[in-house]
Amino acid sequence: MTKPQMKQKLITFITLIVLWQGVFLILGPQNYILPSPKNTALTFIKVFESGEIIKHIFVSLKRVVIGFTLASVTGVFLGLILGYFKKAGSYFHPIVEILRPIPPIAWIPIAILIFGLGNGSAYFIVFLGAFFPIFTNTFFGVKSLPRVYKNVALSFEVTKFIFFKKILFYFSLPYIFTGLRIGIGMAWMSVIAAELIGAQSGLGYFIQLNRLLLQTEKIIIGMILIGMLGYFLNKIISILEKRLIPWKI
Amino acid sequence: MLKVRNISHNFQIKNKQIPVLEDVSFDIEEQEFVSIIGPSGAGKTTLINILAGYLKPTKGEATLSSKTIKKPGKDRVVISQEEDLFDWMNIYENVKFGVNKNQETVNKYIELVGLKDFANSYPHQLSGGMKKRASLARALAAEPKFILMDEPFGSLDYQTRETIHKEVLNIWQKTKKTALIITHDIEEAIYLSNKIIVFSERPARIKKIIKIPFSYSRKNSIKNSSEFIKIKNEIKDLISNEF
Repeated sequence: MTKPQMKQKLITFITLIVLWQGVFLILGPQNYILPSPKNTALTFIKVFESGEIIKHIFVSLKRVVIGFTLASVTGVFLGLILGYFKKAGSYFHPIVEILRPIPPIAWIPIAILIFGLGNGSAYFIVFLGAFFPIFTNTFFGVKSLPRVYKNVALSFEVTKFIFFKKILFYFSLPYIFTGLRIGIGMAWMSVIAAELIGAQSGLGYFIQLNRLLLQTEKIIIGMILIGMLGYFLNKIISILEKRLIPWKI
Repeated sequence: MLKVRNISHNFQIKNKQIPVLEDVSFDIEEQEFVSIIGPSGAGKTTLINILAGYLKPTKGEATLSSKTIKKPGKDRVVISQEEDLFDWMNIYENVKFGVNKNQETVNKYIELVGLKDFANSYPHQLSGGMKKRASLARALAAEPKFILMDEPFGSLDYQTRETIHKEVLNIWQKTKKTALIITHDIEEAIYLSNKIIVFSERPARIKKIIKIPFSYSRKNSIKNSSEFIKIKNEIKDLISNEF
């Protein structure tokens, strides 16, 4: 990050804190809606010192990693196969088009019925949230392979396997990464949603629990952490993308 | 030797048959460099696609070394008018693609097209002219009997095209490959080839086959010779007659 960029970010950050303090002063110190920045900061240190938040963070991250990994593997695999084999694709695609608009939260009731409260449901919801963007982007990546590349492969008489490995996969890789980037965001949103309703641990559960306990500071802390961790997850995918796709500038 | 015999081709658009090639026949001898020139939309690319084996003609057939062309194959490599290098492979990997040749052979062809210092570069790091030279190296590395080029230099600017023409002549003197090039640049056609086939408007028929009298080792200055200008005017007339 360059120096002016750092400075801009710092200014934004300080302005937000000042605004927060201002709203807090208007609402008065006895309100239940918004705690002061100072109290929130103190509670922030406390929840990390006592370790209670760390468990929730790791549980949520674990659920995202597992659900997202499953979604990546199946999404990329099915996207490549169904994009390439047109017949199979035209049978499968309508199913995807109907399932895709159903938001992951709408799956929570059925997930709880099938998997019960806890990890099983969370994996399933995260998987659904991440699968569709990954699959759809991979599928359309394969579909947009230019004719000229197919022709080169035909002229050089390469095998189907080499065509898949050396041409189709690499051509689709930038599309796959677009899917993964959208997918990780969806996965993170889905895990929080799943934990709000169908789990007894995780950051989603943490903010829901503290609503019942009227611990507004902790709700705010939970939300800030959700935002920050989501940002870092996205960053990891972006860094991987730059590393693995050096030919895209 | 490539023999094209009575090839006709129709495209079906809805229920209509649109003829694009009509009874086209010609021969290309070993080591000949032949140009096809004609108005745009005349079906030149269709002919290349048929010779490449991407497309089956409605009527007639083409044979290469007495074998009928039925599908694409390593014995005839196509250089397309689009960019056809793989973005994710560097130049070395691109040239090596699909040919089971050792490193030495691959490097030989990269050097031949003057890209020795760019073997590790990705296509997006090269200029348009360099990309075309890389495509050429890839085609040559396959050591095909026959190279098909579909307006390969059409997207390049005038200066780059002049340089690449010289290089192509140079390479052709060294490799003596049989080649067919499609172009609508009359000077390019005369300068590069031994024989020019002039196509009519769609449906394309052969209007005339013109032999080019210059030797292989021709220089840029022949473009000012009276013979060159005479051929140029003849082709211009043949094409403009159509309108």
